[in-house]
Amino acid sequence: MSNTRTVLIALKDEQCKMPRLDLKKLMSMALRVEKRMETKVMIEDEQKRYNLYCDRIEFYGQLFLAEKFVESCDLGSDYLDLISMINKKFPIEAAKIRLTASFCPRELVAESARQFEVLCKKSGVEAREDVQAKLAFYLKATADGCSVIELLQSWMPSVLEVEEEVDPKKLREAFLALKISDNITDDRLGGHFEELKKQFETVVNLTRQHTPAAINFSELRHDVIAEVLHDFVYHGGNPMYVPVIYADGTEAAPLPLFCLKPKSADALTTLHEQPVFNMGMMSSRHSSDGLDVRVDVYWFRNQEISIGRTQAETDDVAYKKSKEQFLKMRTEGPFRIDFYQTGFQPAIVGFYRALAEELIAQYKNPIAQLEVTPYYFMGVVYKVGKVWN
Amino acid sequence: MISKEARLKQFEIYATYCKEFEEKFTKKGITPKNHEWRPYRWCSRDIVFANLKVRHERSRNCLEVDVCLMANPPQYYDNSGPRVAMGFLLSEAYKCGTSMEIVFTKNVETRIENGVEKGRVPAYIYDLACELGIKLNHVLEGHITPFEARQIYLELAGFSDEAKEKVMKLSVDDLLTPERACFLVMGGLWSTPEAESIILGCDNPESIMLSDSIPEDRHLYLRDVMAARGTVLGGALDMKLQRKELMEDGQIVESEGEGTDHQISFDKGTYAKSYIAAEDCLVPWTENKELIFRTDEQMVVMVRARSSVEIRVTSAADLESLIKTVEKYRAINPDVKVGILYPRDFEDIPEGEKREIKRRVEEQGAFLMVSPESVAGLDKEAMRRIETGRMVRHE
Repeated sequence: MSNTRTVLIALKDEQCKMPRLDLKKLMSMALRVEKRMETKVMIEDEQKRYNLYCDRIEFYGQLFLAEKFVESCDLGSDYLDLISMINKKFPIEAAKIRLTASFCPRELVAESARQFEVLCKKSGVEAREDVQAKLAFYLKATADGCSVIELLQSWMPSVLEVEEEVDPKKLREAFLALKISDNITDDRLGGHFEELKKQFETVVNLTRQHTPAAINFSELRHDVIAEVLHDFVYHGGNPMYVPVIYADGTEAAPLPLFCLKPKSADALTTLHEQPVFNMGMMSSRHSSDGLDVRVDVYWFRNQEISIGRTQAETDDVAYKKSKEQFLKMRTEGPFRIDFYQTGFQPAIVGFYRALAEELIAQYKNPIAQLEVTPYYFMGVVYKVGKVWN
Repeated sequence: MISKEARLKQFEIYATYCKEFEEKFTKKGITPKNHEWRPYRWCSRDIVFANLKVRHERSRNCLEVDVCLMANPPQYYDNSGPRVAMGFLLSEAYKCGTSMEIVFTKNVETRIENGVEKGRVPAYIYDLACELGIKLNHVLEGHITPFEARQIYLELAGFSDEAKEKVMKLSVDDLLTPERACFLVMGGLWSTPEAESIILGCDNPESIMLSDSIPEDRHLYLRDVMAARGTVLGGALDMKLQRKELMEDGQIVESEGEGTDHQISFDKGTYAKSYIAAEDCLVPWTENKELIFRTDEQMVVMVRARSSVEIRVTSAADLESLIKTVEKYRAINPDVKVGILYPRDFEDIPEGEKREIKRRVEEQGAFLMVSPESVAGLDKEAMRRIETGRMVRHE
């Protein structure tokens, strides 16, 4: 196996200073990139920069290990699996303490060790040998005033592990028993609305049977997506989530269905006394068709929403931005919005997922606080859609 | 076997649509969308394997096939036409995000049932399924279900039994779908031997196959990049060994389909690639330029894609692995050739250390290989592949 081990080395500030390079400077530049990466702006450029800085730091770390005497500590080959597990379980905390970073400047070593210990306790792994070894090494580095570099070494020899015996016949049976449809579909119905409705019905049925399936929003008209989604969100039944995929094959967060009921006229009285906001879906789209004149404000800034590389990533950005805005609006509402929608599938799906979840959150409030009426851009005219409240 | 008339009818549909396609898309410089009919012709040099017309049918979320003409050229292995066709159809079904159901229209091998024209799963594809030991339950309805498609895809990807079992295990453990593993191979991101190196030889194959790690998580990303780097270097050796250079008018030319099919396998215990020669060839990248890898001989190569400093730090560990590998293989086959492969970065280490490493390798009766690829180049390619994998359907 590739058997990747993690080795820590500790370096004093004076060791970090080399003839034409200061490792501490490289570390502080890499730290600045880490901050910038959090914003996700120009993310690919920042990632390249980060890789470059880390490569350099690790290269010189390895050079110290090869040529000079430095304090080092081998954490073994299970350490990466450990941090991978913690990273999955507590992603926010792990990012905060830079759990997966390969260097730690002297100034951060003590705090890093303390937070690492807290997180390991929270994960129930504090007694592990590698955790204890890392803590001891970091404490010593703190006392000696050293920075720490964590190096990876792949393809190291290992004691041959005795693998769990797997009966191929039983494995094949388990594989063939995995949930996957063995049925055939009927001939198509016709029309975009019907096609999507049929797809929703199929996916809902399969999801209920725990068989993997997903709604594929590839190349569908934006009004069709919103209208059919409305039908399934406001349809009576047991609330559920259905998976979503896109034309590029990426998978987005699931959509809630059967989770809302239309509001009564009484609940809407106060809301309908409010003025209407003319809200465009996204800036810099169809401006030449007069959309800029028609709307008061845009929900998404084009530049912010177009940063996703895959459609699922765009969906995620749109969803998070919308959640953020709806949360703010709670304190300033109630709001009536005429939503001038243009076609960009992942942004639409992200928006309606957030809207549905916001309406679910407000569901118990007897007085409606939010109403969105879609106006679909159809070339020259706008078509009014079903109301979300 | 499909009749001549039926074959001609399908070909006419195909030819007519090709003209329509040219007017509608090619001439206008428009790329067709997944849900629009697209014609494909699969060839190797001047031999046609399959003519296909497909689209993503959105209401049923399946791949619909309107033309499926295949040939089994005698110079190729059995069922080569349907293998090519099914490999493409399943990959296209996956790429379009379908449920993996394949539906053949009434134009494919048309038959009359109760006065109604109907299609069916082509006989060649049925034969292929029989050869692979997979039962198709809806042949006359013209459907291949996602369940059947999954099994065919796994067989067509060409994994060894060991790798196939590992893919099944990863699927059963809900870590990786078999369709994704197959698509990464059939879609050309990893060759089958490269994918086997990942599946069998990495601590966390699912993370690489899913392109799960991101540069922000440096350790996890670097672990994947290093594993992918080793795989790419191993792949470069595969290609070098398989490449056959032909002479034409005094010029060296490479020709499609003219490689040497050495038998390639992977030993996860030693992280080494094992080759059985299909015909004599030179062992590349060694100091001894006349070292020949003879037909039916076995060669085991430990692939260690390390930078110069990494080689210096881990040379003792590599020697330990080499001794174990030599012992393991010589116990079974005393004539086995054993090598250790480093990238070009090996040349950057101090002369004394370089000589010492060579001496110790030769002391074991093994040889040192230094590829022309550098770690920087290998990393670039490894990152490109991980990044490309990120854009591919995940479920």
